[in-house]
Amino acid sequence: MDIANATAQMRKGILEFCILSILSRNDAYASDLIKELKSVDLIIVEGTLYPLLTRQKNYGLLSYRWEESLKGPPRKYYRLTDEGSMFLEKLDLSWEKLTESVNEIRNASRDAINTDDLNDTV
Amino acid sequence: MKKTVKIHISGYIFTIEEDAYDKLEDWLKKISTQFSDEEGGQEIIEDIEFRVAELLNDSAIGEEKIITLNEINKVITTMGMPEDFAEETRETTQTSQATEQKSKFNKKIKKRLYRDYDNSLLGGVCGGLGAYFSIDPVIIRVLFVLAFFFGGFGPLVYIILWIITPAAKTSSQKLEMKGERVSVSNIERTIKEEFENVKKNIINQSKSENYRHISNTVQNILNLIFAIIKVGFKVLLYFIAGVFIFTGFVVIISLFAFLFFQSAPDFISGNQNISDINLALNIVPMQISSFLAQFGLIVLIGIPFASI
Repeated sequence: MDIANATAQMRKGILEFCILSILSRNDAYASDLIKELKSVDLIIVEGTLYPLLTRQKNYGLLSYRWEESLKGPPRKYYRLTDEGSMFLEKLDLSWEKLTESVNEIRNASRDAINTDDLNDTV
Repeated sequence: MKKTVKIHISGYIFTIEEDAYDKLEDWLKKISTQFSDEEGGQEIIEDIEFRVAELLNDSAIGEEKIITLNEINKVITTMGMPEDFAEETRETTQTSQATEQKSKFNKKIKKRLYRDYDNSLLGGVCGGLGAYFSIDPVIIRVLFVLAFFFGGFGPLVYIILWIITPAAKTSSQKLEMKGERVSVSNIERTIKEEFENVKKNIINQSKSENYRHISNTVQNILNLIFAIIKVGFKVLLYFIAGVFIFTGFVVIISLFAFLFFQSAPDFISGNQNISDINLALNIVPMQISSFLAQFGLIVLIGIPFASI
């Protein structure tokens, strides 16, 4: 298992979570989402987003409406459905649990390494 | 001076330089192949096209602005290559319907018969047949050997197959041989596998140099023999073809001569037959029939030339 694949896997789940989270604040179209996700380095290329949005829509988590834009083509504004907000709540919970568990394990590992280092020097 | 092309993406018209157009088309094609098999793939492609139209629209504010390669490159960098962003979507579809979809793909793809040099003892015929029917090549080898003992047609079939089936040389041919989809990532995988194989072979070779040496010599000798047989076979075929062409040519020439000068060369008609042919031609009034025949012959000879 290579690191690129592992991070991609991790990022994919987190990305879906973040899309729902952003949409829970207000409706947005793809470019808004892209801007926000790019600013926190969660996506590198924009193309990543479109398959995810379509899939979440097909699962019934999102819905969309067309809105005319002053310049350029009409935009698809995405909105969280009721099902989507319920899903997001569950994700929020499991994310909290996950980070807790991961942090605990990472801290324990770090402590173990530190004591090892101490032992070595002694 | 550069040629420009008019295109429309999602209902928006752009004037675009030709090289930029080629690049954009190539990229969109890659995206279509990436997503076309996926559920909702058409929608993803449409969304991406909308975004491309939007990005191009941002950079082409003036009505008559022409889109250059530079702008297309910028769009592609922001959107990313399909290989980059498909990684993250593929996994989920695999978990839910992976096996089902895969078997569906396998059925859809047209397999082709190639010779598999990577899996070969002689010419790779059995390896290729094995890949074609998705069974172990050893079974086919055993069948060939059995066919040699009962009836003796095994080697003949083998030689014919060796001559008529092409070897799978390129990565895409190897995928076709196994009946896998020819896609960017699949080709990449095959190349990786090949690389691993080469590495393994090098290690094996250093381990059992003597054995390899013997088997290589035997293989080389057999290869030589088969190559000679193959060449001989081809020469024979060319010879037969040559004879046919020559005969046909002579017949046409002599018929021509006969029609135009009303006398055939002796070796074709024989002197006593000439009256018979004249008699036959006399059924239709002489001039018309000879005109028709001449016209027919000219067409007959003219067609191959016209097709060149």
